[in-house]
Amino acid sequence: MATFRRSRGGVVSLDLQPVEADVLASLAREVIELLDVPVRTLDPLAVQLGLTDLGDADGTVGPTAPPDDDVLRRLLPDAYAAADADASSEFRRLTERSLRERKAAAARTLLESLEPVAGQGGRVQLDAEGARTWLTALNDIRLALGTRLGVSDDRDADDLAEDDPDRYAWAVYDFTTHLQETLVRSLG
Amino acid sequence: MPAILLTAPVELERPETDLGTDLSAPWVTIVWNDPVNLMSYVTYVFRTHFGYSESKAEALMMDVHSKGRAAVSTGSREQMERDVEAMHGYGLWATLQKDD
Repeated sequence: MATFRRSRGGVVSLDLQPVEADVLASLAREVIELLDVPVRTLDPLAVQLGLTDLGDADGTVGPTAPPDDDVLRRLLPDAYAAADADASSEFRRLTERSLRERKAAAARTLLESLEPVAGQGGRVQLDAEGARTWLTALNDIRLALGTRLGVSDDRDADDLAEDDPDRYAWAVYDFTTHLQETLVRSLG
Repeated sequence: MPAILLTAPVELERPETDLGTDLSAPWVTIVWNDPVNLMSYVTYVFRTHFGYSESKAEALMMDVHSKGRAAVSTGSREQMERDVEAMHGYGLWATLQKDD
């Protein structure tokens, strides 16, 4: 299995098989798709009736309600406990858009560094900043996979039957876990 | 490969914490345990974001892991909002609340 190793000059490297590179790229694209920052459209009638938030001075406005999708709710969680939903809504309105953008940008960086090895595999080298970005992007991928698979402290791939349809996804999850673990370690 | 992330929802537990009412109390950032985040990564985040020593970062990570949560920083509400936003950027599950 591909493993991150520290190489000279503060660089880490990763030798990927073609299928490993393709799986990672595919996951990054799915995360980007999930995070898709909605285009801001204002219904003129709703504005006139005061039914919509006109947003901040810079013209941006974010949602106030948590996303419906479980993965997105894990990637973009409430900032306050359930008892303080109003504070969570206001915080979300001000910050969710940029959090989505930062996460999508990290996934895009990961995707770009895979482009040279797409379809054929090969070595990916990351400088310190690239490694930090990969860490958070890999973490978002793992959070998304873990949420979909219902990962918990007492459930892992060993519990699956031979013919469980989730086996493939669990193998992918374990692969991304291995990558993140070896990347953290190689950063020391 | 088949799409994995775009299907099959599961339930998430939400944190339930009582917010205090003392206006003068400082605020805290709480990081919650999570079955996905790696112990090594959580320690890395505490070292990187807060500048904590390896031993302090690891002790806080173990608190999160074994007690289910740990207060990782204290300060004004605005500071704690910045910390929570940063934790969410790293993918850690964090909330802020009044210290009690």
